[in-house]
Amino acid sequence: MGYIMDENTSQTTNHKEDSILKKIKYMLLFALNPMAVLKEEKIHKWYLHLILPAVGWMIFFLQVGLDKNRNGYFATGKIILLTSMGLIIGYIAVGLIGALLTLILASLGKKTRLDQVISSIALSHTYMTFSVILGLIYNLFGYNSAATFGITGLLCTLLPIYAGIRSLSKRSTFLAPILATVVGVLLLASWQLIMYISF
Amino acid sequence: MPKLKLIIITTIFTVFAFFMGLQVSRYGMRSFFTGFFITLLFGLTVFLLQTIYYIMTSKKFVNDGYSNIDDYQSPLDIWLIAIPFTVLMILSYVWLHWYMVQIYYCTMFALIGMLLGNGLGRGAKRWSIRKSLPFFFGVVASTLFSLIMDWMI
Repeated sequence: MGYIMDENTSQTTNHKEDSILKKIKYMLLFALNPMAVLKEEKIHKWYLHLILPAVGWMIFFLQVGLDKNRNGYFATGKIILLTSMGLIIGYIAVGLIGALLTLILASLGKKTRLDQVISSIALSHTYMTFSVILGLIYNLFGYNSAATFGITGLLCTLLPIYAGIRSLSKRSTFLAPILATVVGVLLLASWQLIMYISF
Repeated sequence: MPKLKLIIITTIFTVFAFFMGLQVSRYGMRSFFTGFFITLLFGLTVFLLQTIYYIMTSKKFVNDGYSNIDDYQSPLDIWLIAIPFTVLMILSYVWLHWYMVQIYYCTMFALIGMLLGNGLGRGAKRWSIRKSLPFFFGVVASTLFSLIMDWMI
């Protein structure tokens, strides 16, 4: 009896581990190819996916704060304020940009849902998050790295967005570059907003 | 349509060269024209080499029966991703006062190299140097330009 129970428990544990591994694999797949979200029928938890850009922006603004602190312009309190702003505005701004892009795509007759577009834009920040983490490591060695790694990350974010819009509109050559430009400008404007509030 | 795309791409390189000239003459060691012409020539050379290689390799793959002509995206379409990069560079320079044109330029070469490689089928089926070459070339071009930039600044 005890043996059977042990076997059942072990099977349940294995099943749980399999399911966790599957979930991680699934998440990684979308993180590396965010536009796959646009082809998925299921409803996506966009509010959870928005945590990724929020964290990315938070790390970016932490670097900006550390750079300023090293040059003697910023006290620790201001670094915390700037970092928190990055986290909060990163979450809200990417969500709003996703909503705006959904509206534009809908007005152009493209069939996409709000959760799909917000999730794909949020997950496009995977590359940016990698970039700013690398930048943070550089920063810890005493280099002023925020702008370099931030811009590289921002441009990498535009790549999957461009590819996704292109896949939705193969006939229109200029739609993808124009909408990617709009998204890029709005992201950059949000960065400027954070700096304006915090400085 | 290809003519319009070519004009846009050439304009993009000219705009980058203009801002690089400004940056180099204001904050670097060289004159506006040194920065302008080096950036323009470098960009156009990379563009020509990458595009010609892409067209030749994709044609060869089609002739060998390895793939279909419809599998390949126009290389000029791929280069159009440079539009948002250029707009963001101008905004950064004029509005945010971030004088780092070279970061946009180098990242553009690296990312477009990756896209051209992907367009040739990099990552699909068996690995082949012919499919990955644009990617490596993009990285080399990006590194090379950052070295040139070190000399100009």
